[in-house]
Amino acid sequence: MILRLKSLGMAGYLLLLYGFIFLPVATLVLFSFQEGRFPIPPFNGPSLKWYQAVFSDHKLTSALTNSLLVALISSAFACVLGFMAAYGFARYRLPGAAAIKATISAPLTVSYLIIGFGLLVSFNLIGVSRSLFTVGIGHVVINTPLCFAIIYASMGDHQLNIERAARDLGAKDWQVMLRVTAPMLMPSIIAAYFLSVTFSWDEFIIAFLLSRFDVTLPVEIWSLLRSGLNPKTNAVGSVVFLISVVIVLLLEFTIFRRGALRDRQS
Amino acid sequence: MAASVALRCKGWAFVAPALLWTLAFFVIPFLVMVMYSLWQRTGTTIVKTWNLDNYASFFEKSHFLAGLSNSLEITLLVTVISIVLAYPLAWIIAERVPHRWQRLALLLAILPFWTSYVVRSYAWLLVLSRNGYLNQSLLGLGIIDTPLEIASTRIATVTGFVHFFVMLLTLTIYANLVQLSPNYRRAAADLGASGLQTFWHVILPLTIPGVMVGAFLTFVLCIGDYITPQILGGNNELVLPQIIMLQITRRADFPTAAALSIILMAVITIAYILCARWLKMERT
Amino acid sequence: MTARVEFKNIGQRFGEFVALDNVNLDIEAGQYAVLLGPSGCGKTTLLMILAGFISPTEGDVLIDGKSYNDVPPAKRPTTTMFQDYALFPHMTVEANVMFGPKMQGAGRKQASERAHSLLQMVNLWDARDKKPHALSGGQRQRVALARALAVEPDVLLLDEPLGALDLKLRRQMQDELKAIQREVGTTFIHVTHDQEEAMAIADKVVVMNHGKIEDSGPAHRVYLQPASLFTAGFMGEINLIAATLSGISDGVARFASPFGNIDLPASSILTKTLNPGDPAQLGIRPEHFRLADSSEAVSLGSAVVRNCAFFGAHLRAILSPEAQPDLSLIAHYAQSQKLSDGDRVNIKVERDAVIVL
Repeated sequence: MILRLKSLGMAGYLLLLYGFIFLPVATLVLFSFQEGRFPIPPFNGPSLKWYQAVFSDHKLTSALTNSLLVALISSAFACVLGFMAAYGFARYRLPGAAAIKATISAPLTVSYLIIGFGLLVSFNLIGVSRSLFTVGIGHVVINTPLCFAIIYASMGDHQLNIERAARDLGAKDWQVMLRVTAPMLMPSIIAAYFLSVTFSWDEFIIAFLLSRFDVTLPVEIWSLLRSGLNPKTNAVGSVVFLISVVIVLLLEFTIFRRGALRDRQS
Repeated sequence: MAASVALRCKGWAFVAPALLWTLAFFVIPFLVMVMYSLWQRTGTTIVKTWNLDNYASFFEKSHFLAGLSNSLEITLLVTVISIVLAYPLAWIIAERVPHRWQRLALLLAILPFWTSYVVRSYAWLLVLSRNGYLNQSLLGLGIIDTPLEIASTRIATVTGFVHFFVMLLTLTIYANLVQLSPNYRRAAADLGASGLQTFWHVILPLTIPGVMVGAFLTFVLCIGDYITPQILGGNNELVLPQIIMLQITRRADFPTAAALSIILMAVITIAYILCARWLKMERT
Repeated sequence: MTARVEFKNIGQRFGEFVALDNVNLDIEAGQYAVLLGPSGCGKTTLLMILAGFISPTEGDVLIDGKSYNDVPPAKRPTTTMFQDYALFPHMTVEANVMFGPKMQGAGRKQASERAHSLLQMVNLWDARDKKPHALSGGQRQRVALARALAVEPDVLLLDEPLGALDLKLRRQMQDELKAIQREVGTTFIHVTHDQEEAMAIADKVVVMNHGKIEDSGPAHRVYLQPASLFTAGFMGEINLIAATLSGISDGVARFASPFGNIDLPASSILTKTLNPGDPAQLGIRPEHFRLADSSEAVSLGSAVVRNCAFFGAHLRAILSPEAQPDLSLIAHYAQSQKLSDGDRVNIKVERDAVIVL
């Protein structure tokens, strides 16, 4: 009897909390199909007119492309920098390694607002104008420590012997790195890349501070919002949500399912 | 001897790009910001004499101090509420949900956050605003007569934050819980402890690190966030990031913004030191 | 303080897999019993059933005559020493040991006294304020023992407790465990895959394989007169010679084998009733080979020493008998014996030591 009450209570708590977690997004998606002028109750519809509005809004679609470009390119950069640094630390003994590691990891601990602002004043000082390029630089700054941490954590001694064998067989250092180490570490590299893309794609404050005319999607959405509740926002938000869901599901069913996620022994 | 030097050089070659990038685009900008914080803005020019006036005025200007206290109050409130809500959720997923559904349960909990952070905060506006979902439902059910004014208040900001950080804390606490050896529970039960006793004396103390890590992340991310308070909080009780952004965008007062940013960083650093010290104490 | 344990018709299934098959076992109060067998034989499953962490698919578990089938671990008069010790990392040694008594309602003073006496017994009173991570493997194990005994269980269950220790420490702990069990008088049930460990400690060795009990009894009986082929092989190295029973007369059984006729006392036939013409395996342990002739020795012809190595306490030789060159016999000879590869020896085996299986 008590057991049933306890399970009921727990199920109830789960329902309540999941309801809380899904409430805003559910509302968002629901009212993106709203027929009326405003994306609020009561619900009339469904209508796809706001989705049409989004895809015919030139500014939004170009912002979307910009976001993708910045995310994909800056993350690739961050991955390369992070991978090389991880390789350097894992395979060579360097003086002051701890200090250098701390420096490279430092951006993780600082608010994006401050990173963005620092870059803004610096670029201002030396006369570099704001653009997607400067946004990209900022995103590389925030994502490199992430890539470094993820890849470094997965470099262990067991790969060392394989690399030694490769060197033994005559491969040069850069060949070893490119053709032996990188393929072995591919799962972490891919994980780091996708995580960086996610952070960059959704990042607002640095993009806001460091862009001017060409903006990324979050910044464009922000300007939509400045003019009050806009039904296009719902549609855009739902589209972004859908794309993210699809990517996550893809990742889940290809990469992570193959990886070893041990189930807890009970 | 020469071989080890050659080796070192190779090592440097690999590490240098990331290091140089960080120095050029993080460390130096930070130093530039510090420099700005010591300058003054008068009219449209920047007076480049070094002084601590900006910092002094922080303690004098009441709205700056209010900004900091708002930030701290909201952040602490959010942290506490999120922990209280997240711990049972993490516990239920880790202990009661069947193993093969646990990943799915976590994924479901994270899923709503896969929309843009900006849009997510905006979505709360859809729910909490005067014509929003919550008011319409409550009015429709007859529970209230006039719409609740929640949007553009601190309550809305806290709600928006708690929504995000409950998810984060659930993850960190869950990670801690599943990594505990099942033999702890078995040993406690074996020695005569009831479920409640096992939880209170064994499980809870052992999950404190997970809670602390999540709480620290919550604190740092929450106190530095501009988006959620700006969308949901209205214009009455500004938090520090909002004030900083005002200095940058509206008033183009970089020196003041820089000083305020440094103060924000100082607060975060103090939190980090306290947390690190506490974690080290826990170890011994 | 101590109790008799009875397993009646215990069966355990995990889906398709049969972990335990109709296991019946009685352990007297105050005995030190060891469940011995290879991985997967079911010994740990049986232990967990007794502890209450697993509910058996069939059968009954009785402690002191009372059935404990659906009773949770907290309410059973058993405590378990886990393989990874499971010491609470956030509590001191003393707090760990006091945990059980406190959970069962003892006052602080009482729990403290109990912890004191137990930690004294395992020689760890001086370490009482340390946390588990500051202790060595052997020390942690002793704390786990003290903690388990603090609730004064009737039965103490040990799940491969010495696996993580090195050889010397393991030998030492075996002696200590035995001594403590004698002192405390509690029934100990100890799971291991190491037959030497089992023989060193146990009052009763229970050999298990594939969910069944192959043999159980005092160590010397299980070793010298094993009840099954598996037991014979598991308890130590054994040479097996295929033979057929020719006949039994006057207490002497004659076997026909590739080595000719072998006469053994009829009492050597242990496992089943053999009729003339039935096949059997003659088991000879390496240490029962002799080089000198005697009336107690059975001769198996001569053999060539193929490989000979000094093992410290004995000389280990692999013999290739002339009568059956494809068969390898393993013999242990005295350490002073001088043998080298290629030598020809006469195989002599103590008659009374041959086992018929």
